[in-house]
Amino acid sequence: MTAVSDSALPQRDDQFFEELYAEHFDFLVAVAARKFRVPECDAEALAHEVFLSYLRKSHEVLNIHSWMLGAICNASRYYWRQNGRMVEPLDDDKAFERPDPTTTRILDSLPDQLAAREALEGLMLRDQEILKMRYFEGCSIIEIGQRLGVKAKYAQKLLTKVLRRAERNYRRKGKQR
Amino acid sequence: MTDHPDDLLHIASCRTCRDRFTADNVVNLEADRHREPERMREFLETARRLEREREGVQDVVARLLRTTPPAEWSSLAASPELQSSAAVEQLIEEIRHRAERKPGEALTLANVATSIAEALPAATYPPVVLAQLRATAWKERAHALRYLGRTDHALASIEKAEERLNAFAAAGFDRAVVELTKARILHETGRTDEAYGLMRECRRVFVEHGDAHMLLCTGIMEGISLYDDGRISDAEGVFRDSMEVARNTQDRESQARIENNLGYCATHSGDFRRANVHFSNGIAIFNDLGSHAEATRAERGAGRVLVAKGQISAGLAYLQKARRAFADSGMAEDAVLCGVEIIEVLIQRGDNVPASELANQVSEEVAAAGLGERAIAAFARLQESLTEGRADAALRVHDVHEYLKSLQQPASM
Repeated sequence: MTAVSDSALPQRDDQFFEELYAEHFDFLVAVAARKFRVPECDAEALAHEVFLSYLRKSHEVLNIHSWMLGAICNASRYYWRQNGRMVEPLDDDKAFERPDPTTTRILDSLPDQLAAREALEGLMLRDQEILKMRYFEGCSIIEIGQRLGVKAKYAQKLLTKVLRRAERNYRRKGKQR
Repeated sequence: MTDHPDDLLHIASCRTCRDRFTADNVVNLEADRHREPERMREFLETARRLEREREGVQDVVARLLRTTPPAEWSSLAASPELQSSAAVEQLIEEIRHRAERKPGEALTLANVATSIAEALPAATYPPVVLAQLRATAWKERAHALRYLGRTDHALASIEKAEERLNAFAAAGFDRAVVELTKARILHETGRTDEAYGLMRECRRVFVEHGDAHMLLCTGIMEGISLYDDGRISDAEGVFRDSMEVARNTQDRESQARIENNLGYCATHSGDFRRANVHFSNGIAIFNDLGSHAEATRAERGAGRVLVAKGQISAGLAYLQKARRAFADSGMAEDAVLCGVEIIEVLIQRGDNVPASELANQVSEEVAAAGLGERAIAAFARLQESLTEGRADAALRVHDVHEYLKSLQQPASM
């Protein structure tokens, strides 16, 4: 949470804004690109938009670091929500001409993939949600804790347990095949 | 990397760790950054412009509102002095001040603010800044409409606000603020599940942004909604979580409000001793902060809820204290209203003599406060009933109460 010591608003002049941009821009790009796998050029546009959106709030934001970080994480997730489904439709003829390299040896990996899917589907909804947060949305342990309303330490324990459960399910399904 | 590999917040606030993280995680930092100087320039120019426009705008807006009759406020949309982001921001402040007491005026100003925001040329500000401004204006319009009870129109206004922000990934904070207003409207229209879903999502966004103030607003709002829905223990849980946040951030005003709300929850759970502790804490904090009017309102609220729960003596003590405080601070209408509430309780208890004495006293106050002939006549009828020991005294005092309350209602359109 916002520390009390941050409660004094900084003097906002040209130098302040310039330093803010210079110090944080690359960091925000890094968070979007590394943590959320946003393509780097889009990550830059997102980071820039975060700075611009901060300007209307600059008189209210007490903890700039926290605000910027929250804004880029939120923006990155929104980016994937908006762009995740916007995949160009597949042209069937071209697909036959140039098969997807990831599917050329699919028969070798398919049983494993199916076993993995079944293993995940065999988990409780909350467990699935935890894995989705961690490995799909890229949430940190702290963020998972916040979303679940538990402490980070407990969130870490939950994640470890869920992984073990998934692994057990996977082995069982694998053996059945 | 750092000793805190998973703590991005630490990395964000520590320069060394931040630089190391950035260097470790972005390949080709220097390459393909042709647009960066342009972006920096755009950011600085926008920052300068917004700061410059904000200077003196408060006086400009105040002057225009003072010198233009409220009936002609709509014409302010064309005023050249108001064609800027800062002017719209200031109008929004004015709307917020009026929304509760004068929602009609607030709506007129919200219409002016949305007209100006929508008419600002696209090239004036970066698209995301313009979208935030427009969305906030529409959101405030929705707020004013909500106070006027026009919930359908309020929801339509909220949809406009949402639309304005849709295209901007980085406007997540603004989106959450808009959704919070939407949640409030949905709750009032009975769509409680949707409302609670939105509140939870808003809470997550505010936690993520480290905004304790908005987090507290959301928590208090959620708690009050749960309380209104009769989910007292859930409400209490939310208030307790919020109290933790308020304590950590030393937000004393929120602490006082939450103590007061916890008092209501405890009263409903039948734990009157705990309720008394919470109410007393809340009132003491308000007094410490110098918010004596708030403290008095809290006393009145505590009195009302305790009386409603049959804790007549404890409730009367609060109401009498509140009445004295209202009278001392010159809030005659509130003092009278409080007096009527006490008379109501006394009549219900069968204490007709003290009720009659108080009615005499309050009647004089009504006349002195100039609350109108109708109120004075209503009091005369009440006193007559009390003196003659008629059974309709309870009904009469109820009528007086309702009439005085109606005088306090905000003016409608």
